Amino acid sequence: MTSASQDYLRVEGVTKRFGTFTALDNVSFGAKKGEFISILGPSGCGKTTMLRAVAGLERQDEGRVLLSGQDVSHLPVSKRHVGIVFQSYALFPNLSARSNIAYGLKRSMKSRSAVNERVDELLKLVGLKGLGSKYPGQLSGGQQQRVALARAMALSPNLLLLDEPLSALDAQVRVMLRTEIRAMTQRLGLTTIMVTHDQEEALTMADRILVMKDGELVQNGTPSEIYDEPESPFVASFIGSMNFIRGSYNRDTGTFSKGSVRVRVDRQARSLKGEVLAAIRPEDVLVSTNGEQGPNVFEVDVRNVEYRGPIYRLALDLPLGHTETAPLIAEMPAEKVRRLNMTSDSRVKVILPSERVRLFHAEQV
Amino acid sequence: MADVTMTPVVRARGGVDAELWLKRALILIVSAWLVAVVVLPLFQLLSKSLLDNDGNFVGLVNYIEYFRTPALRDSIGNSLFVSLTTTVISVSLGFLFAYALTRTNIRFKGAFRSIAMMPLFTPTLLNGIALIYLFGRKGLITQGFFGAIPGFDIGLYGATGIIISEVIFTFPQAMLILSVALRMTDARLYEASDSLGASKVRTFFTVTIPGIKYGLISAVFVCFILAFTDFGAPKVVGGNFNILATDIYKQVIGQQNFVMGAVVSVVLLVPTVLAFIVDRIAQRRQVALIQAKSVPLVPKPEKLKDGIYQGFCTFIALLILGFFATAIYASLVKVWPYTLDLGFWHYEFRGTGGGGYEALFNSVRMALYSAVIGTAITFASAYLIEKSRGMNGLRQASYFLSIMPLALPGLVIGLSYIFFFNAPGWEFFGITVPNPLNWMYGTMAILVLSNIVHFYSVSFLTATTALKQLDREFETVSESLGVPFYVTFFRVTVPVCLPAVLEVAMYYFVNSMATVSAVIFLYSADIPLASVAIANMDDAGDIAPACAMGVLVVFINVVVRLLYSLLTKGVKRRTQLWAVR
Repeated sequence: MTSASQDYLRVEGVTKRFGTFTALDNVSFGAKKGEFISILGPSGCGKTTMLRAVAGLERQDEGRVLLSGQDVSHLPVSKRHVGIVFQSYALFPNLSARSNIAYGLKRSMKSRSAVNERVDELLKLVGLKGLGSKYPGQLSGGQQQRVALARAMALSPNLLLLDEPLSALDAQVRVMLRTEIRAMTQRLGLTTIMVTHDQEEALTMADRILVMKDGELVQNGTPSEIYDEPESPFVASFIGSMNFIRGSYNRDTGTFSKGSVRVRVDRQARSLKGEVLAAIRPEDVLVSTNGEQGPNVFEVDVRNVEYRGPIYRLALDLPLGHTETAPLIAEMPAEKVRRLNMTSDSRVKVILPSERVRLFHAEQV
Repeated sequence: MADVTMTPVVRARGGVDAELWLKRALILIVSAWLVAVVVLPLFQLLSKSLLDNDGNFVGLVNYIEYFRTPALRDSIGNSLFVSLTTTVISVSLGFLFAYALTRTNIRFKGAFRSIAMMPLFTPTLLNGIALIYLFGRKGLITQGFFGAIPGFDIGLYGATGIIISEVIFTFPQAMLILSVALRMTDARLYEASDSLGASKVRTFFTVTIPGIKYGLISAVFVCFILAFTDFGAPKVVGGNFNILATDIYKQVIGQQNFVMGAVVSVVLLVPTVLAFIVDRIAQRRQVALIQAKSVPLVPKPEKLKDGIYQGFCTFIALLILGFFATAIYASLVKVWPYTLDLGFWHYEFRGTGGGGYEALFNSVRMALYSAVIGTAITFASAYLIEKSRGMNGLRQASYFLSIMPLALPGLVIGLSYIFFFNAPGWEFFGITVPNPLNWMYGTMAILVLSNIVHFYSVSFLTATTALKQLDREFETVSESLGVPFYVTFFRVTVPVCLPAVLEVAMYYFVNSMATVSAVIFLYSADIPLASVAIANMDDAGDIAPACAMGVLVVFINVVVRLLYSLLTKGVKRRTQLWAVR
């Protein structure tokens, strides 16, 4: 966490209700100058409302929004020095790319030549040199996105707000723009907040990710913290995928047990006891190749093998004793699956590395 | 992205609060305007019906008298009878016609559509007059084409004549509404029904009819309201068959009994408002049937079906063309049915009342003002109501008041405007407030205003629909860029909505030219109007000049409509370049 004094943007205890529906529930976070923050969550979690509250498009019912330490809660969007890119781009269809970008400039710049110069600069910035005279309808989705970005950047905002900026684009264009946007904000030292429901987008672009659920901020951390140290089963399963097995935890021996299965857990889980959820990522499930033995090695049935190009996704059944089994998903490099000749209905040994197993309160689900 | 240093930009400051207040003030003005031109005059009309002729409050006495007078009371049944019959015929014919245009492979669809829309440009008085030339005592059909073949008298004057006129008047409306409904369908529903082995009849009742349910409801109510409140045609061919609309006219103009006029107006208003409310409730339940993924239905050629519909549409189109041909022919014949020389005698309007070309010129002027001012007011109000945030209550109330004139018959608007604008002032708790709008009475201004209000709802809905199609974030974008909303309104909203703006203007013009019901109470002798001239010449027995005037009104409207088509094409080609990929 950053200290409050360094933050360019601070959101303090912001709550927003629409009638009886609470869209934001006491949300607080900060962003340092130049930081790229991604707000991630399922639809309806309040992430867009959060962005609009920062922008000044929605007035929060409680709490404050501060920019450079100054309370801007009561300032309208036009006084917050923010640039916004909307999901739909909202480009004016009857104006050329140039006029769209120059839209806000005409009021702040005196001379026509100054405006033209600035627009050229912006067109170059977003890589649209020479396309200024085109209308939005004549541009591709990715190009439209760049025009929207240039328009948002026109007034040199101190804060860039992106509302699902890439969701309407083809996969390839999306990946390319991802890198370009990140490079641009880094070069300009521009504080950026991006709302997205795409975890990959958040993981690859952001310095920090805020995960939201039902109007609440459930975790705030770097991409690796969010992925490797999820604080709740929700975060664990929303970002990446996760196997869960419900069972009991013995703090003294450091083992998780369910039926006949005992799993050693290295991580300290001081506050946990009784019923818990054990969790492991599919890519952390390893196949034993040279007959290891030990507490975390299990013989499992391969129920299904799914080809996914570079990897295989294996659906496994972990026997819990008698007839009961627990489903387990594993992901493995294609090369390994081929070498071990793993097919449906075969039997293999897997290792659940004790340092990769996490435990959650069972009631946290 | 290329490496460029960013020039610092100084932002425009200030003006934000002022802008917010300006927007609020404008919304307040819109609400106040609607209250002043819709609510207050109606209130004045209602209260008038509760007073005696000397202005003393008498409660429901006038209503009791109304229901005790058989001549007046019977009109309710008569009005309901003709308008319900009209609705059944119009909606049936309109459905078949619309079905032929949207779901079959007949030829000449464009021509059929244009011909079917002709009655929209016609004063309903002309409908009656043309019918007289066809089925009247000396009519073409009655006399068997001047004795060439055996004649046939259908007994035009009375219910028959009114129903035929109203069917001609309401048919295009039903056809248009049902065409839209029939076009909005998903071919996949039909494919599913086919693949499940449903018969054609079953598919019709389980897919087609439910799909156009709301369009059908709308068509029924629109036809009913139009036929129930029309005044022009019944005045000409109604004979001794009294209906509510003609009663109001007779009470006010004939007997100068304004109080009874107000009472009949309220009686006329009740079923209309009920129909309006039921339709609104029904439309609110409508969910979008057509989605982005919908597949448009392409009718498959079927020889027998296409043949039958081709015949049907040709028949209807010939009837409409024959109808207008009769009107034109009759206006050119020297002395019907004796001297059949053709010429423009009746277009000279000599020796007839009504005002002749001055009246026609005034009508054009009035229609032009109504189109320009009406479009500006309608579009700006629709924008403020649709695209603002905050003041939700006021905006919802304004929305309701904007669609309410749909339920107000022209005669009711006309009469309530007499009461409201002619009132020298009002007394509240002993304080006399002079009427600030009294100056408008008897001027062009009140004529234009009555037209704007009379045709407000349809224009408002057209504008709202166009505005709804714009990205919701346009306003937000300009706000975030520090550009005032009115700049974006003129630079983006209006240009993008230009086709809808032109459509609204055309609608105002055409209807203002043709309407007689509201203005017949409001025109003054200094400002004669074409439609009123038709009524007055018809009253005086100068049917041929009345017919000629009607033909001129239709001619001007068709020219304006053609100009509109050309203009829309031009606009689309030039300013809407962006719409083409």
